Amino acid sequence: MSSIRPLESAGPAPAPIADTSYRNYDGPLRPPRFGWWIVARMMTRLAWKRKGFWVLLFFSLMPYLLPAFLLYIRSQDQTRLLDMLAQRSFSGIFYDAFAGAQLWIFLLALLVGAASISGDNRANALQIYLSKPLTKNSYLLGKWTGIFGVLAAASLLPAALLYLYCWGSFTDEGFLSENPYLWLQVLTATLLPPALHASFLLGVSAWFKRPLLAGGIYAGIYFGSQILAGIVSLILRRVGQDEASVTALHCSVPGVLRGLGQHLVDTLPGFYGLPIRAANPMSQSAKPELLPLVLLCVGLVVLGLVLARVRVRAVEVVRG
Amino acid sequence: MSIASLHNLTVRYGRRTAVSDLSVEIPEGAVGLLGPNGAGKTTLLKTLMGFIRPASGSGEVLGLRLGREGLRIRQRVGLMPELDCHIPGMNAVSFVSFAGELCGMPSAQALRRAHEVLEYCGLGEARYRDVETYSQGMRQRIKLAQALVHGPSLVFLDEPTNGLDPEGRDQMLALVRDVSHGKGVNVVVSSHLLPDIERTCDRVIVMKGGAVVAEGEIAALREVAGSQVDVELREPSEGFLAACRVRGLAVLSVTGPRIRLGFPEPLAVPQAREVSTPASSPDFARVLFSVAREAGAQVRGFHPARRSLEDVFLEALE
Amino acid sequence: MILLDHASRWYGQVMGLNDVSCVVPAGITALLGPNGAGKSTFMKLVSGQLRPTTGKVAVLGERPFANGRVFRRLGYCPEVDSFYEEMTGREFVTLLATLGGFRGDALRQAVQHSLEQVGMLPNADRRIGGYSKGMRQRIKMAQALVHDPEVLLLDEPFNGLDPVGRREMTDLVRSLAESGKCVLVSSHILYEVEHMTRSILLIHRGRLLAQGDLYHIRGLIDRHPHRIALRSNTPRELGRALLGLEHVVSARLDDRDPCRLEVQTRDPESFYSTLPALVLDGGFHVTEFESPDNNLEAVFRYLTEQS
Repeated sequence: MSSIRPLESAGPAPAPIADTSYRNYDGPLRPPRFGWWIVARMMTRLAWKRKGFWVLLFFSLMPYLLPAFLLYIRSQDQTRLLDMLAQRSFSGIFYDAFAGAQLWIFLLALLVGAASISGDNRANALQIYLSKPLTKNSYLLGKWTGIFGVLAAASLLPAALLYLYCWGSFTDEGFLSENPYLWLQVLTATLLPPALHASFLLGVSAWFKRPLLAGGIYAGIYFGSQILAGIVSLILRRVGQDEASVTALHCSVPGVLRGLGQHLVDTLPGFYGLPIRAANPMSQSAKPELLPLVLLCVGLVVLGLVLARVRVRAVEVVRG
Repeated sequence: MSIASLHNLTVRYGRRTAVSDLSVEIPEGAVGLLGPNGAGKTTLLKTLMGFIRPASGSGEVLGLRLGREGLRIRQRVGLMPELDCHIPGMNAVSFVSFAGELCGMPSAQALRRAHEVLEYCGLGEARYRDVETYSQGMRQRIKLAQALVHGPSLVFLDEPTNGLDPEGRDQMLALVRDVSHGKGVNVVVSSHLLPDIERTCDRVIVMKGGAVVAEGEIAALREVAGSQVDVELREPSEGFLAACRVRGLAVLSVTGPRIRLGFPEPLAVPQAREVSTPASSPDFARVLFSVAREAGAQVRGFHPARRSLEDVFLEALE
Repeated sequence: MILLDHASRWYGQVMGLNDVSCVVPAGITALLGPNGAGKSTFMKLVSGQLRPTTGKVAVLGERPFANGRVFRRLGYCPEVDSFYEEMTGREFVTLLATLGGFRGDALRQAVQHSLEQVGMLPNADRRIGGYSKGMRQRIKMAQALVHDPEVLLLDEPFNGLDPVGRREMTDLVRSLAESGKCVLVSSHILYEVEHMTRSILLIHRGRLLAQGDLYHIRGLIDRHPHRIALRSNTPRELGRALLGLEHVVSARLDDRDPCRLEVQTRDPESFYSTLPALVLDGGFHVTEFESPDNNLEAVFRYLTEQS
């Protein structure tokens, strides 16, 4: 059954006049187990065909380019003008870049993920997907992997470049010895936002028929939760509950990512060692509590997946 | 030969029983699936596509067992859904080849096949256009194309002429008929438009209340016992009817210029010179033409009476 | 009851309907045409949702555009499916009847009657969201009928109905027409139209292509070559005899069916009138004959292809 046969035995001699109407396909068919991969691949392919993808990818690169640039200047500069950078650990620099990239990762998530299922709902595409050898779970897995893959690329790639640059240029200055496990920490931290967005946005998207609406709602949740968390945190700080205030500040979609990021690379927020005003609410004396953040993050992921699973129903393919 | 068969199948949705103890053979070729709303057609289609795990009973489609091998069944069958549907953000070729890849085709093969199938479905010139810009008729065609791309040996068509104008309907029906005759593809057409079934299918299965109430070859089901003939006149004519009655013909029904006549049983013995088949059929022409000449009516056509599929269907439901 | 006088409707530069003049009498008239021909524009002009760009439209002697008096005497069953999904069928019809000015007992009776007419009484108190396509179609019909209008506009009213439902609804439409109402039905299902009415309006590319009685129209297009298929046990001899007629231009034997003969004639009228004599005098044995060009579908195809 191999599809490549020796030339001499290329089947029966062709008829003088070929029948070009419908003919059957009897070529190879792969076992129907990798449907999710096909779906995911199509998602990424559709993503990188869009201009917005490249624009946002460029922007999400910026937060990592900036410290690389500063570090380069410092290494070349004899005047020691940028010495305050040295006050910031490499972990801290990576965290700052990570935090700075969050907005772009979020926008990229909207670009790739808002239409993921809502667009399919609008076009009744599920009728097509599920009439193929593709289960509901592999459909969802494919969509999830598609969003995750695109976001992970945008989140991980710049971090990896910065890591390689530091590794090559600053090993002498203790880049590796300062924190030998930094690579693992950065890897986990940068994969966390893609995972959260992919899961939660998938769930939101599944409940709408219009991508714009799904995206709008997701953006509303993203920013709304941030504002709400900010207010609660401010109130708690007024009444002197400083620790609770810091934790509350991170109880939002973007906050939970930053908070977990701080725990993962074990640092406090800063701005590449550049001074930030003390009045800035970003300045915090301690990391937020870990447990609520983990619970919130896991909760959002599970909620998203459950929402999507509940909404996408296989049996609707043939309707009465 | 049957392409699929169900034995004593029972399907329940929660507590509601949709189909109970259904046994049916889907024969090869083009089969029409008829039934009023709620007759169990949808459940049958879902079951045959391997979506439903039957509560009891067994069945197989293309030699694959129901319930266990749903995915492998769907790899070898195609579905043209009833609703307007496509995968957003793609042009026709990528959509259809993506559909092929979902069925397990290697991407190069899928792309090649997509072009071939789109050409066959009459979308050759529009294949690089975004599906969103397609007209109703083209959307219907691309639904057929995506169902055929992986070369299924069984295709389910759910209301294939939905929303089409007469020309689009003609073309779609011609496509369905062509693909199901002599191309090695078996089709099951589910439609509320009985003439569509008549024009595309050779056999029919009529369902009601979760059970099969009639099945068989359409031509056989449409046969009418006795010597009846349908006549069409240029214009409705009372004189013609009167002259028929005088000759002892029974006027069975009149709709406008269309008349159904019953001939008395032992009728004009056929002439001696006949050669082949229509030997035993009575010489309607002689009688009808003489009547028409007497009554001054113009006969525009006549043929031995056949029941319309609609009559067959409505009768089966009673 | 409906009159269009050189009515045109343009959407910016896009043509909807171009210079159409016609009169729709009481009874059933079928509005035919391919997709995008202008049928919906026609319906909207008559139902007063659009104002003609030029020309005049009159329904029951009045201009329908935004005219409440006409609305009260006109029922419209649109093609699009838009409902308040949370309402029950009865609530929906009641709401529209209230908008039409019904109150109290009269309202309840009118709603009950229209639901009964369309056979929706058993399901009237269920949510519309849970209705099948056929039930939604019936509810749309009920809301068009609830105020017992004199003019009914039905846009693809049988879409999604099963064969039993189609039969019931065509019977309903016929009985409405028999009671003296003016019913304008647009449909793509030509054989169904043929069973309902002979009066047609054919629109194509915004122009009125044909109007009037189907048989009359068919008679007029009899002038183009016309195919006639016959079955005989002596098709060769019959074909030879038929070729002797001056207006028969071809005779063809079917290579798959040895008894079938297909001839083409330039003058069907004389063909049909000479055929009986030829068959009777020649002693031919004809078991069936008919013209594949002799139905609404063929007329429709011929007319739309010509223009």
